[in-house]
Amino acid sequence: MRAIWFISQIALFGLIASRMINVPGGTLTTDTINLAPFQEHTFQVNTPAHLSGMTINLSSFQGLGEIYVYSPNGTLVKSDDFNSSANLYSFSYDFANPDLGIWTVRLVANASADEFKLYAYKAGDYFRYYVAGLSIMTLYSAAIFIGFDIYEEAEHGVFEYLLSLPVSRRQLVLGRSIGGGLRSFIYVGPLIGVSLYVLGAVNPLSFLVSLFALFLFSFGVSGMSITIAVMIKSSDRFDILMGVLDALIVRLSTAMYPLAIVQAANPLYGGVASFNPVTFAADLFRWGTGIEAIISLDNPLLPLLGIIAFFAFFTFVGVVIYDRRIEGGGWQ
Amino acid sequence: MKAVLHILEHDFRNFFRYKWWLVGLISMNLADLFIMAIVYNYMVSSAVTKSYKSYFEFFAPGLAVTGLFASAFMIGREINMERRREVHHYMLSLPMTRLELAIGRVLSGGLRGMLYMSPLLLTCFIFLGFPDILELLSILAVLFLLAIGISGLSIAIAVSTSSLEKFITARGLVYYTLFFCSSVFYPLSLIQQLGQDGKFPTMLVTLAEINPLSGASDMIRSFLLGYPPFSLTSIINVLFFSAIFTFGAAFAYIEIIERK
Repeated sequence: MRAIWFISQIALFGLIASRMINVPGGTLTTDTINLAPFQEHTFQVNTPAHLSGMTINLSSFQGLGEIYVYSPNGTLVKSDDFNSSANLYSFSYDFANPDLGIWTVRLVANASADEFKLYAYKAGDYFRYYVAGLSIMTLYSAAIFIGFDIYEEAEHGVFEYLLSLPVSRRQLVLGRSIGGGLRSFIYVGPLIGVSLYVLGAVNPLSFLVSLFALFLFSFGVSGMSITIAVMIKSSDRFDILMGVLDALIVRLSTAMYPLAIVQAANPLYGGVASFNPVTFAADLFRWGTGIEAIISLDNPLLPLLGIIAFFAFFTFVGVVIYDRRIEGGGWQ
Repeated sequence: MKAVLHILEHDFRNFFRYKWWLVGLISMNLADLFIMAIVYNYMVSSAVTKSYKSYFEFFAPGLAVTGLFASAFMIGREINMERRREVHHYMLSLPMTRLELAIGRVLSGGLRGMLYMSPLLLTCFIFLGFPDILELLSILAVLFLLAIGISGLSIAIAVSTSSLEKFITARGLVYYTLFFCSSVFYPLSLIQQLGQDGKFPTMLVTLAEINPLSGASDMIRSFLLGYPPFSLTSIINVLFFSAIFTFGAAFAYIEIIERK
Protein backbone atom coordinates (compact mmCIF):
# COMPACT_ATOMS: atom_id res chain seq x y z
CA MET A 1 0.00 0.00 0.00
CA ARG A 2 2.80 2.39 0.97
CA ALA A 3 4.69 1.51 -2.21
CA ILE A 4 1.59 2.29 -4.30
CA TRP A 5 1.23 5.59 -2.45
CA PHE A 6 4.89 6.40 -3.00
CA ILE A 7 4.94 5.56 -6.70
CA SER A 8 1.66 7.35 -7.42
CA GLN A 9 2.90 10.40 -5.53
CA ILE A 10 5.99 10.51 -7.75
CA ALA A 11 4.46 9.50 -11.08
CA LEU A 12 1.23 11.48 -10.76
CA PHE A 13 1.22 14.16 -8.06
CA GLY A 14 4.92 15.05 -8.26
CA LEU A 15 4.94 15.16 -12.04
CA ILE A 16 1.81 17.27 -12.43
CA ALA A 17 2.29 19.53 -9.39
CA SER A 18 5.84 20.38 -10.45
CA ARG A 19 4.31 22.09 -13.52
CA MET A 20 2.34 24.53 -11.41
CA ILE A 21 4.63 25.03 -8.42
CA ASN A 22 7.67 27.26 -8.43
CA VAL A 23 10.36 26.47 -5.94
CA PRO A 24 13.27 28.88 -5.46
CA GLY A 25 16.47 27.54 -7.01
CA GLY A 26 18.62 30.42 -5.76
CA THR A 27 18.08 34.12 -5.16
CA LEU A 28 18.78 36.55 -8.00
CA THR A 29 17.89 39.79 -6.21
CA THR A 30 16.10 40.71 -3.03
CA ASP A 31 15.48 44.29 -1.91
CA THR A 32 13.14 46.52 0.07
CA ILE A 33 12.46 50.20 -0.55
CA ASN A 34 10.38 52.87 1.19
CA LEU A 35 8.92 55.39 -1.22
CA ALA A 36 7.40 58.81 -0.54
CA PRO A 37 4.07 59.68 -2.25
CA PHE A 38 4.33 59.55 -6.07
CA GLN A 39 8.06 58.69 -5.85
CA GLU A 40 9.52 56.12 -8.28
CA HIS A 41 12.17 53.47 -7.85
CA THR A 42 13.81 51.04 -10.24
CA PHE A 43 15.07 47.59 -9.20
CA GLN A 44 17.44 45.70 -11.46
CA VAL A 45 17.55 41.92 -11.82
CA ASN A 46 20.59 40.46 -13.53
CA THR A 47 19.85 37.13 -15.22
CA PRO A 48 22.69 34.71 -16.01
CA ALA A 49 22.93 32.62 -19.18
CA HIS A 50 21.03 29.32 -19.60
CA LEU A 51 18.42 30.13 -16.96
CA SER A 52 15.43 27.82 -17.39
CA GLY A 53 13.06 30.03 -15.43
CA MET A 54 12.81 33.08 -13.22
CA THR A 55 10.15 34.33 -10.82
CA ILE A 56 9.81 37.93 -9.68
CA ASN A 57 7.71 38.52 -6.55
CA LEU A 58 6.63 42.04 -5.68
CA SER A 59 4.69 43.14 -2.62
CA SER A 60 3.40 46.42 -1.26
CA PHE A 61 2.73 46.94 2.45
CA GLN A 62 -0.16 49.39 1.86
CA GLY A 63 -1.43 47.68 -1.29
CA LEU A 64 -1.04 50.83 -3.40
CA GLY A 65 1.18 51.67 -6.36
CA GLU A 66 2.07 50.61 -9.90
CA ILE A 67 4.46 47.99 -11.28
CA TYR A 68 6.22 47.94 -14.67
CA VAL A 69 8.53 45.07 -15.62
CA TYR A 70 10.88 45.50 -18.63
CA SER A 71 12.94 42.80 -20.34
CA PRO A 72 16.67 43.43 -21.09
CA ASN A 73 15.78 44.87 -24.55
CA GLY A 74 13.50 47.48 -22.92
CA THR A 75 10.15 45.88 -23.81
CA LEU A 76 7.42 46.29 -21.22
CA VAL A 77 6.45 42.68 -20.40
CA LYS A 78 4.23 43.09 -17.32
CA SER A 79 2.35 45.91 -15.66
CA ASP A 80 -0.06 45.82 -12.73
CA ASP A 81 -1.54 47.95 -9.97
CA PHE A 82 -1.54 47.04 -6.30
CA ASN A 83 -5.03 47.46 -4.97
CA SER A 84 -5.79 47.09 -1.26
CA SER A 85 -9.56 47.13 -1.78
CA ALA A 86 -9.25 44.13 -4.15
CA ASN A 87 -6.79 42.45 -1.74
CA LEU A 88 -3.96 42.76 -4.31
CA TYR A 89 -0.94 43.25 -2.06
CA SER A 90 1.47 41.08 -4.03
CA PHE A 91 2.19 39.93 -7.57
CA SER A 92 4.26 37.06 -8.84
CA TYR A 93 5.54 36.84 -12.41
CA ASP A 94 7.04 33.71 -13.94
CA PHE A 95 9.32 33.84 -16.97
CA ALA A 96 10.35 30.68 -18.79
CA ASN A 97 13.83 30.85 -20.41
CA PRO A 98 14.25 34.57 -19.57
CA ASP A 99 16.52 36.69 -21.79
CA LEU A 100 20.08 37.11 -20.61
CA GLY A 101 20.82 40.60 -19.25
CA ILE A 102 19.41 43.17 -16.89
CA TRP A 103 15.67 43.16 -16.25
CA THR A 104 14.17 46.36 -14.88
CA VAL A 105 11.33 46.59 -12.39
CA ARG A 106 9.93 50.10 -11.97
CA LEU A 107 7.70 50.87 -8.99
CA VAL A 108 5.62 54.02 -8.67
CA ALA A 109 4.15 54.87 -5.28
CA ASN A 110 0.61 56.18 -4.97
CA ALA A 111 -0.68 59.12 -2.95
CA SER A 112 0.67 57.67 0.29
CA ALA A 113 4.14 56.54 1.37
CA ASP A 114 4.65 52.78 1.10
CA GLU A 115 7.15 49.97 1.56
CA PHE A 116 7.82 47.71 -1.46
CA LYS A 117 9.65 44.39 -1.51
CA LEU A 118 11.17 42.58 -4.45
CA TYR A 119 12.28 38.95 -4.44
CA ALA A 120 13.59 37.54 -7.71
CA TYR A 121 14.75 33.95 -7.85
CA LYS A 122 15.80 31.24 -10.28
CA ALA A 123 13.20 28.54 -10.84
CA GLY A 124 14.14 25.30 -9.09
CA ASP A 125 12.92 21.83 -9.96
CA TYR A 126 9.98 21.12 -7.65
CA PHE A 127 9.76 17.53 -8.87
CA ARG A 128 13.21 16.66 -7.49
CA TYR A 129 12.52 18.69 -4.36
CA TYR A 130 9.27 16.83 -3.74
CA VAL A 131 10.67 13.35 -4.43
CA ALA A 132 13.36 13.90 -1.79
CA GLY A 133 10.76 15.09 0.74
CA LEU A 134 8.52 12.15 -0.08
CA SER A 135 11.25 9.70 0.98
CA ILE A 136 11.37 11.34 4.40
CA MET A 137 7.58 11.34 4.77
CA THR A 138 7.54 7.61 3.97
CA LEU A 139 10.38 6.90 6.40
CA TYR A 140 8.56 8.81 9.13
CA SER A 141 5.27 6.96 8.69
CA ALA A 142 7.03 3.56 8.54
CA ALA A 143 9.03 4.26 11.73
CA ILE A 144 5.90 5.36 13.60
CA PHE A 145 4.44 1.87 13.10
CA ILE A 146 6.40 0.35 15.99
CA GLY A 147 3.92 1.99 18.40
CA PHE A 148 1.08 -0.08 16.94
CA ASP A 149 3.15 -3.23 17.52
CA ILE A 150 3.41 -2.32 21.20
CA TYR A 151 -0.39 -2.42 21.48
CA GLU A 152 -0.56 -5.72 19.70
CA GLU A 153 2.06 -7.18 22.06
CA ALA A 154 0.14 -5.83 25.06
CA GLU A 155 -3.07 -7.38 23.76
CA HIS A 156 -1.43 -10.80 23.36
CA GLY A 157 0.49 -10.69 26.65
CA VAL A 158 3.88 -10.48 24.95
CA PHE A 159 4.59 -7.24 26.81
CA GLU A 160 4.93 -8.99 30.18
CA TYR A 161 7.17 -11.59 28.57
CA LEU A 162 9.46 -8.87 27.23
CA LEU A 163 9.65 -7.25 30.66
CA SER A 164 10.66 -10.60 32.19
CA LEU A 165 13.66 -10.99 29.86
CA PRO A 166 17.13 -10.66 31.42
CA VAL A 167 17.79 -7.24 29.83
CA SER A 168 17.67 -3.83 31.44
CA ARG A 169 14.80 -1.44 30.64
CA ARG A 170 17.31 0.85 28.94
CA GLN A 171 18.50 -1.96 26.68
CA LEU A 172 14.91 -2.90 25.96
CA VAL A 173 13.87 0.62 24.89
CA LEU A 174 17.08 1.24 22.97
CA GLY A 175 16.78 -2.13 21.24
CA ARG A 176 13.19 -1.50 20.27
CA SER A 177 13.93 2.02 19.01
CA ILE A 178 16.85 0.82 16.92
CA GLY A 179 14.92 -2.27 15.78
CA GLY A 180 11.93 -0.15 14.76
CA GLY A 181 14.17 2.33 12.98
CA LEU A 182 16.14 -0.37 11.16
CA ARG A 183 12.97 -2.17 10.18
CA SER A 184 11.50 0.98 8.69
CA PHE A 185 14.77 1.68 6.93
CA ILE A 186 14.79 -1.75 5.34
CA TYR A 187 11.15 -1.29 4.42
CA VAL A 188 11.65 2.15 2.89
CA GLY A 189 15.09 1.33 1.44
CA PRO A 190 13.83 0.32 -2.03
CA LEU A 191 11.68 3.46 -2.17
CA ILE A 192 14.69 5.61 -1.26
CA GLY A 193 16.50 3.77 -4.06
CA VAL A 194 13.74 4.86 -6.46
CA SER A 195 14.15 8.46 -5.22
CA LEU A 196 17.90 8.33 -5.77
CA TYR A 197 17.34 7.07 -9.30
CA VAL A 198 14.93 9.98 -9.93
CA LEU A 199 17.23 12.53 -8.28
CA GLY A 200 20.30 11.43 -10.23
CA ALA A 201 23.94 11.14 -9.20
CA VAL A 202 24.95 11.93 -5.63
CA ASN A 203 28.12 12.96 -3.83
CA PRO A 204 29.05 9.72 -1.96
CA LEU A 205 30.48 11.44 1.14
CA SER A 206 27.56 13.84 1.64
CA PHE A 207 25.18 11.00 0.97
CA LEU A 208 26.77 8.80 3.65
CA VAL A 209 26.46 11.62 6.18
CA SER A 210 22.82 12.17 5.29
CA LEU A 211 22.18 8.41 5.39
CA PHE A 212 23.62 8.28 8.91
CA ALA A 213 21.31 11.18 9.86
CA LEU A 214 18.33 9.34 8.38
CA PHE A 215 19.17 6.28 10.50
CA LEU A 216 19.19 8.44 13.61
CA PHE A 217 15.98 10.09 12.48
CA SER A 218 14.16 6.79 12.05
CA PHE A 219 15.47 5.53 15.44
CA GLY A 220 14.27 8.80 17.00
CA VAL A 221 10.81 8.50 15.41
CA SER A 222 10.54 4.88 16.62
CA GLY A 223 11.57 6.01 20.12
CA MET A 224 8.95 8.76 20.00
CA SER A 225 6.28 6.31 18.87
CA ILE A 226 7.18 3.85 21.67
CA THR A 227 7.22 6.64 24.26
CA ILE A 228 3.78 7.93 23.25
CA ALA A 229 2.33 4.40 23.02
CA VAL A 230 3.54 3.52 26.53
CA MET A 231 2.37 6.86 27.91
CA ILE A 232 -1.21 6.75 26.72
CA LYS A 233 -1.84 2.97 26.79
CA SER A 234 -4.93 3.23 24.62
CA SER A 235 -4.76 2.14 21.00
CA ASP A 236 -7.71 4.38 20.03
CA ARG A 237 -6.13 7.49 21.51
CA PHE A 238 -2.77 6.52 20.06
CA ASP A 239 -4.33 6.12 16.63
CA ILE A 240 -5.90 9.56 16.69
CA LEU A 241 -2.84 11.24 18.21
CA MET A 242 -0.58 9.73 15.57
CA GLY A 243 -2.99 10.86 12.84
CA VAL A 244 -3.00 14.43 14.13
CA LEU A 245 0.76 14.40 14.76
CA ASP A 246 1.40 13.04 11.27
CA ALA A 247 -0.81 15.75 9.77
CA LEU A 248 1.03 18.50 11.63
CA ILE A 249 4.60 17.25 11.75
CA VAL A 250 4.78 16.52 8.02
CA ARG A 251 2.94 19.61 6.81
CA LEU A 252 4.79 21.94 9.17
CA SER A 253 8.15 20.86 7.81
CA THR A 254 10.24 21.33 4.69
CA ALA A 255 9.24 17.91 3.31
CA MET A 256 6.91 19.59 0.80
CA TYR A 257 8.09 23.20 0.61
CA PRO A 258 11.21 25.26 1.41
CA LEU A 259 11.54 26.91 4.82
CA ALA A 260 11.67 30.44 3.37
CA ILE A 261 8.25 29.90 1.78
CA VAL A 262 6.76 28.45 4.98
CA GLN A 263 8.05 31.47 6.91
CA ALA A 264 6.65 33.85 4.31
CA ALA A 265 3.27 32.11 4.45
CA ASN A 266 2.99 32.25 8.23
CA PRO A 267 5.74 33.09 10.75
CA LEU A 268 4.21 30.66 13.26
CA TYR A 269 4.34 27.82 10.75
CA GLY A 270 7.90 28.85 9.91
CA GLY A 271 8.88 28.81 13.60
CA VAL A 272 7.54 25.28 14.07
CA ALA A 273 9.11 24.09 10.80
CA SER A 274 12.53 25.43 11.85
CA PHE A 275 12.65 23.06 14.85
CA ASN A 276 10.92 20.09 13.28
CA PRO A 277 12.96 16.85 13.00
CA VAL A 278 11.27 16.13 9.65
CA THR A 279 12.74 19.44 8.41
CA PHE A 280 16.20 18.42 9.61
CA ALA A 281 15.93 15.03 7.91
CA ALA A 282 14.50 16.43 4.64
CA ASP A 283 17.13 19.17 4.41
CA LEU A 284 19.96 16.75 5.12
CA PHE A 285 18.67 14.24 2.60
CA ARG A 286 18.49 16.95 -0.07
CA TRP A 287 21.95 18.12 0.88
CA GLY A 288 23.22 14.53 0.68
CA THR A 289 21.63 13.97 -2.71
CA GLY A 290 23.11 17.17 -4.09
CA ILE A 291 19.97 19.25 -4.56
CA GLU A 292 20.86 21.68 -1.78
CA ALA A 293 20.89 24.56 -4.28
CA ILE A 294 17.11 24.52 -4.07
CA ILE A 295 17.05 24.85 -0.30
CA SER A 296 20.26 26.86 0.18
CA LEU A 297 21.31 24.92 3.27
CA ASP A 298 24.03 27.06 4.84
CA ASN A 299 25.36 24.60 7.36
CA PRO A 300 24.47 20.88 7.32
CA LEU A 301 25.87 20.53 10.84
CA LEU A 302 22.85 22.28 12.37
CA PRO A 303 20.19 19.83 11.13
CA LEU A 304 22.56 16.96 11.92
CA LEU A 305 22.83 18.17 15.52
CA GLY A 306 19.06 18.62 15.59
CA ILE A 307 18.53 14.99 14.59
CA ILE A 308 21.08 13.74 17.13
CA ALA A 309 19.28 15.75 19.84
CA PHE A 310 15.92 14.35 18.70
CA PHE A 311 17.20 10.78 18.82
CA ALA A 312 18.91 11.25 22.22
CA PHE A 313 15.85 12.95 23.73
CA PHE A 314 13.38 10.26 22.79
CA THR A 315 15.70 7.43 23.75
CA PHE A 316 16.28 8.99 27.18
CA VAL A 317 12.65 9.97 27.70
CA GLY A 318 11.59 6.55 26.41
CA VAL A 319 13.66 4.80 29.10
CA VAL A 320 12.30 7.03 31.89
CA ILE A 321 8.69 6.66 30.75
CA TYR A 322 9.09 2.89 30.36
CA ASP A 323 10.39 2.65 33.92
CA ARG A 324 7.65 4.81 35.40
CA ARG A 325 4.62 3.66 33.44
CA ILE A 326 5.26 -0.06 33.07
CA GLU A 327 7.20 -1.25 36.08
CA GLY A 328 5.24 -3.26 38.60
CA GLY A 329 1.87 -2.87 36.95
CA GLY A 330 2.40 -4.35 33.52
CA TRP A 331 0.39 -2.85 30.71
CA GLN A 332 -2.75 -2.04 32.68
CA MET B 1 -38.00 0.17 2.96
CA LYS B 2 -37.95 -0.67 6.67
CA ALA B 3 -35.30 -3.29 6.05
CA VAL B 4 -33.13 -0.72 4.26
CA LEU B 5 -33.50 1.59 7.27
CA HIS B 6 -32.31 -1.21 9.58
CA ILE B 7 -29.23 -1.67 7.42
CA LEU B 8 -28.61 2.08 7.50
CA GLU B 9 -28.86 2.07 11.29
CA HIS B 10 -26.45 -0.89 11.52
CA ASP B 11 -23.88 0.77 9.28
CA PHE B 12 -24.14 4.16 10.95
CA ARG B 13 -23.56 2.55 14.35
CA ASN B 14 -20.44 0.92 12.92
CA PHE B 15 -19.35 4.23 11.45
CA PHE B 16 -19.50 5.99 14.83
CA ARG B 17 -17.40 3.24 16.36
CA TYR B 18 -14.52 4.79 14.42
CA LYS B 19 -15.18 8.31 15.72
CA TRP B 20 -11.61 8.88 16.91
CA TRP B 21 -10.26 7.66 13.64
CA LEU B 22 -12.62 10.09 11.88
CA VAL B 23 -11.42 12.97 14.07
CA GLY B 24 -7.86 12.12 13.00
CA LEU B 25 -8.90 12.02 9.34
CA ILE B 26 -10.71 15.37 9.59
CA SER B 27 -7.72 16.99 11.29
CA MET B 28 -5.50 15.68 8.51
CA ASN B 29 -7.87 17.16 5.90
CA LEU B 30 -7.95 20.49 7.71
CA ALA B 31 -4.15 20.50 8.03
CA ASP B 32 -4.03 20.02 4.25
CA LEU B 33 -6.20 23.09 3.81
CA PHE B 34 -4.88 25.41 6.49
CA ILE B 35 -1.21 24.54 6.23
CA MET B 36 -0.40 22.93 2.89
CA ALA B 37 -2.74 25.02 0.73
CA ILE B 38 -1.74 28.28 2.47
CA VAL B 39 1.96 27.58 1.92
CA TYR B 40 1.30 26.51 -1.68
CA ASN B 41 -0.32 29.95 -2.23
CA TYR B 42 3.22 31.29 -2.22
CA MET B 43 4.55 28.76 -4.70
CA VAL B 44 1.85 28.23 -7.25
CA SER B 45 2.65 29.71 -10.66
CA SER B 46 0.90 32.79 -11.95
CA ALA B 47 -0.74 30.62 -14.65
CA VAL B 48 -2.89 29.08 -11.90
CA THR B 49 -3.42 32.19 -9.77
CA LYS B 50 -4.57 34.07 -12.91
CA SER B 51 -7.72 31.94 -12.99
CA TYR B 52 -8.09 31.30 -9.26
CA LYS B 53 -7.25 33.97 -6.69
CA SER B 54 -5.19 31.56 -4.61
CA TYR B 55 -4.38 27.88 -4.27
CA PHE B 56 -6.33 27.84 -1.01
CA GLU B 57 -9.52 28.78 -2.86
CA PHE B 58 -8.78 26.30 -5.61
CA PHE B 59 -8.10 23.43 -3.23
CA ALA B 60 -10.98 23.89 -0.72
CA PRO B 61 -13.68 22.32 -3.00
CA GLY B 62 -11.28 19.52 -3.96
CA LEU B 63 -10.66 18.75 -0.31
CA ALA B 64 -14.39 18.32 0.38
CA VAL B 65 -14.53 15.83 -2.51
CA THR B 66 -11.49 13.86 -1.27
CA GLY B 67 -13.06 13.71 2.21
CA LEU B 68 -16.26 12.37 0.68
CA PHE B 69 -14.31 9.78 -1.30
CA ALA B 70 -12.27 8.52 1.67
CA SER B 71 -15.25 8.19 4.00
CA ALA B 72 -17.64 6.67 1.45
CA PHE B 73 -14.95 4.10 0.67
CA MET B 74 -14.87 2.92 4.32
CA ILE B 75 -17.91 0.69 3.83
CA GLY B 76 -15.81 -1.57 1.58
CA ARG B 77 -13.36 -2.32 4.37
CA GLU B 78 -16.22 -3.35 6.67
CA ILE B 79 -17.81 -5.58 4.06
CA ASN B 80 -14.46 -7.19 3.27
CA MET B 81 -13.96 -7.85 6.99
CA GLU B 82 -17.49 -9.32 7.30
CA ARG B 83 -16.69 -11.63 4.42
CA ARG B 84 -13.41 -12.76 5.93
CA ARG B 85 -14.99 -13.34 9.35
CA GLU B 86 -18.05 -14.91 7.73
CA VAL B 87 -20.43 -12.38 9.24
CA HIS B 88 -22.08 -12.23 5.82
CA HIS B 89 -23.87 -15.49 6.60
CA TYR B 90 -25.62 -13.67 9.42
CA MET B 91 -26.40 -10.73 7.12
CA LEU B 92 -27.87 -13.10 4.52
CA SER B 93 -30.02 -14.77 7.19
CA LEU B 94 -31.77 -11.51 8.08
CA PRO B 95 -35.47 -11.28 7.14
CA MET B 96 -35.03 -9.07 4.09
CA THR B 97 -34.51 -9.55 0.39
CA ARG B 98 -31.02 -9.66 -1.10
CA LEU B 99 -31.83 -6.50 -3.04
CA GLU B 100 -32.85 -4.62 0.11
CA LEU B 101 -29.65 -5.73 1.80
CA ALA B 102 -27.50 -4.62 -1.16
CA ILE B 103 -29.29 -1.28 -1.57
CA GLY B 104 -29.01 -0.65 2.17
CA ARG B 105 -25.26 -1.22 2.14
CA VAL B 106 -24.62 0.99 -0.91
CA LEU B 107 -26.89 3.72 0.45
CA SER B 108 -25.36 3.72 3.93
CA GLY B 109 -21.84 3.98 2.48
CA GLY B 110 -22.92 7.03 0.49
CA LEU B 111 -24.77 8.69 3.36
CA ARG B 112 -21.83 8.17 5.70
CA GLY B 113 -19.63 9.87 3.12
CA MET B 114 -22.02 12.83 2.98
CA LEU B 115 -22.06 13.09 6.77
CA TYR B 116 -18.28 13.08 7.01
CA MET B 117 -17.89 15.54 4.15
CA SER B 118 -20.40 18.10 5.49
CA PRO B 119 -17.98 19.97 7.86
CA LEU B 120 -15.42 20.13 5.06
CA LEU B 121 -18.02 21.49 2.62
CA LEU B 122 -19.17 24.01 5.24
CA THR B 123 -15.56 25.15 5.74
CA CYS B 124 -15.33 25.57 1.98
CA PHE B 125 -18.50 27.71 1.95
CA ILE B 126 -17.29 29.82 4.88
CA PHE B 127 -14.09 30.77 3.09
CA LEU B 128 -15.30 30.88 -0.51
CA GLY B 129 -18.83 32.16 0.01
CA PHE B 130 -22.21 30.45 0.09
CA PRO B 131 -23.91 29.35 -3.13
CA ASP B 132 -27.54 30.23 -3.82
CA ILE B 133 -30.19 27.67 -2.94
CA LEU B 134 -30.39 26.12 -6.43
CA GLU B 135 -26.60 25.79 -6.61
CA LEU B 136 -26.51 24.33 -3.09
CA LEU B 137 -29.11 21.72 -4.01
CA SER B 138 -27.20 20.87 -7.19
CA ILE B 139 -23.95 20.49 -5.21
CA LEU B 140 -25.59 18.24 -2.62
CA ALA B 141 -27.34 16.15 -5.28
CA VAL B 142 -24.17 15.62 -7.32
CA LEU B 143 -22.09 14.86 -4.22
CA PHE B 144 -24.70 12.39 -3.03
CA LEU B 145 -24.64 10.60 -6.37
CA LEU B 146 -20.86 10.59 -6.26
CA ALA B 147 -20.90 9.20 -2.71
CA ILE B 148 -23.25 6.39 -3.75
CA GLY B 149 -21.00 5.58 -6.72
CA ILE B 150 -17.87 5.51 -4.52
CA SER B 151 -19.64 3.35 -1.96
CA GLY B 152 -20.66 0.98 -4.77
CA LEU B 153 -17.12 0.89 -6.13
CA SER B 154 -15.68 0.03 -2.72
CA ILE B 155 -18.29 -2.70 -2.16
CA ALA B 156 -17.55 -4.18 -5.59
CA ILE B 157 -13.83 -4.31 -4.70
CA ALA B 158 -14.54 -5.65 -1.20
CA VAL B 159 -16.60 -8.61 -2.38
CA SER B 160 -14.23 -9.40 -5.24
CA THR B 161 -11.10 -9.64 -3.06
CA SER B 162 -10.60 -12.57 -0.73
CA SER B 163 -8.00 -11.15 1.69
CA LEU B 164 -7.43 -7.87 3.48
CA GLU B 165 -4.07 -7.42 1.74
CA LYS B 166 -5.65 -7.76 -1.70
CA PHE B 167 -8.42 -5.36 -0.74
CA ILE B 168 -5.94 -2.79 0.61
CA THR B 169 -3.79 -3.07 -2.53
CA ALA B 170 -6.78 -2.69 -4.84
CA ARG B 171 -8.08 0.18 -2.73
CA GLY B 172 -4.67 1.90 -2.89
CA LEU B 173 -4.57 1.61 -6.66
CA VAL B 174 -8.10 2.98 -7.10
CA TYR B 175 -7.64 5.67 -4.42
CA TYR B 176 -4.45 7.19 -5.72
CA THR B 177 -5.24 6.85 -9.41
CA LEU B 178 -8.57 8.64 -8.96
CA PHE B 179 -7.14 11.22 -6.53
CA PHE B 180 -4.07 12.21 -8.47
CA CYS B 181 -5.57 11.84 -11.95
CA SER B 182 -8.23 14.42 -11.26
CA SER B 183 -8.63 18.16 -10.85
CA VAL B 184 -8.72 17.86 -7.04
CA PHE B 185 -5.13 19.07 -6.54
CA TYR B 186 -4.43 20.88 -9.83
CA PRO B 187 -6.51 22.41 -12.63
CA LEU B 188 -7.68 20.05 -15.36
CA SER B 189 -6.24 22.45 -17.95
CA LEU B 190 -2.76 21.77 -16.54
CA ILE B 191 -3.15 18.00 -17.00
CA GLN B 192 -4.50 18.56 -20.52
CA GLN B 193 -1.54 20.84 -21.33
CA LEU B 194 0.87 18.17 -20.11
CA GLY B 195 -0.89 15.66 -22.34
CA GLN B 196 -0.60 17.99 -25.35
CA ASP B 197 3.11 18.48 -24.64
CA GLY B 198 3.52 14.69 -24.63
CA LYS B 199 4.64 14.69 -20.98
CA PHE B 200 1.67 12.77 -19.63
CA PRO B 201 0.00 9.66 -21.12
CA THR B 202 -3.15 10.44 -23.12
CA MET B 203 -4.96 7.61 -21.36
CA LEU B 204 -4.43 9.30 -17.98
CA VAL B 205 -5.49 12.68 -19.40
CA THR B 206 -8.75 11.08 -20.56
CA LEU B 207 -9.17 9.47 -17.15
CA ALA B 208 -8.73 12.88 -15.49
CA GLU B 209 -11.36 14.37 -17.83
CA ILE B 210 -14.00 11.72 -17.15
CA ASN B 211 -13.05 11.24 -13.51
CA PRO B 212 -16.13 11.96 -11.36
CA LEU B 213 -13.89 13.58 -8.72
CA SER B 214 -12.86 16.15 -11.35
CA GLY B 215 -16.50 16.72 -12.32
CA ALA B 216 -17.68 17.25 -8.73
CA SER B 217 -14.73 19.49 -7.71
CA ASP B 218 -15.03 21.66 -10.82
CA MET B 219 -18.78 21.98 -10.39
CA ILE B 220 -18.33 23.39 -6.86
CA ARG B 221 -15.58 25.70 -8.17
CA SER B 222 -17.74 26.93 -11.02
CA PHE B 223 -20.53 27.85 -8.55
CA LEU B 224 -18.32 29.38 -5.85
CA LEU B 225 -15.42 30.83 -7.85
CA GLY B 226 -16.94 31.27 -11.29
CA TYR B 227 -14.20 29.17 -12.88
CA PRO B 228 -13.92 26.73 -14.66
CA PRO B 229 -17.18 27.20 -16.57
CA PHE B 230 -20.03 24.93 -15.54
CA SER B 231 -19.96 21.75 -17.62
CA LEU B 232 -22.99 19.51 -18.01
CA THR B 233 -20.76 16.76 -19.41
CA SER B 234 -18.89 16.41 -16.14
CA ILE B 235 -22.19 16.06 -14.27
CA ILE B 236 -23.25 13.37 -16.74
CA ASN B 237 -19.92 11.63 -16.00
CA VAL B 238 -20.79 11.61 -12.29
CA LEU B 239 -24.26 10.22 -13.13
CA PHE B 240 -22.78 7.45 -15.25
CA PHE B 241 -20.18 6.58 -12.63
CA SER B 242 -22.84 6.48 -9.95
CA ALA B 243 -25.28 4.39 -11.98
CA ILE B 244 -22.64 1.87 -13.08
CA PHE B 245 -21.18 1.32 -9.63
CA THR B 246 -24.44 1.40 -7.69
CA PHE B 247 -26.03 -1.31 -9.85
CA GLY B 248 -22.74 -3.11 -10.37
CA ALA B 249 -22.10 -3.25 -6.63
CA ALA B 250 -25.65 -4.34 -5.82
CA PHE B 251 -25.35 -7.14 -8.37
CA ALA B 252 -21.86 -8.14 -7.18
CA TYR B 253 -22.94 -8.09 -3.53
CA ILE B 254 -25.93 -10.33 -4.18
CA GLU B 255 -24.13 -12.72 -6.53
CA ILE B 256 -20.69 -13.07 -4.94
CA ILE B 257 -21.73 -12.99 -1.28
CA GLU B 258 -24.30 -15.73 -1.85
CA ARG B 259 -21.75 -17.96 -3.54
CA LYS B 260 -19.20 -17.86 -0.71
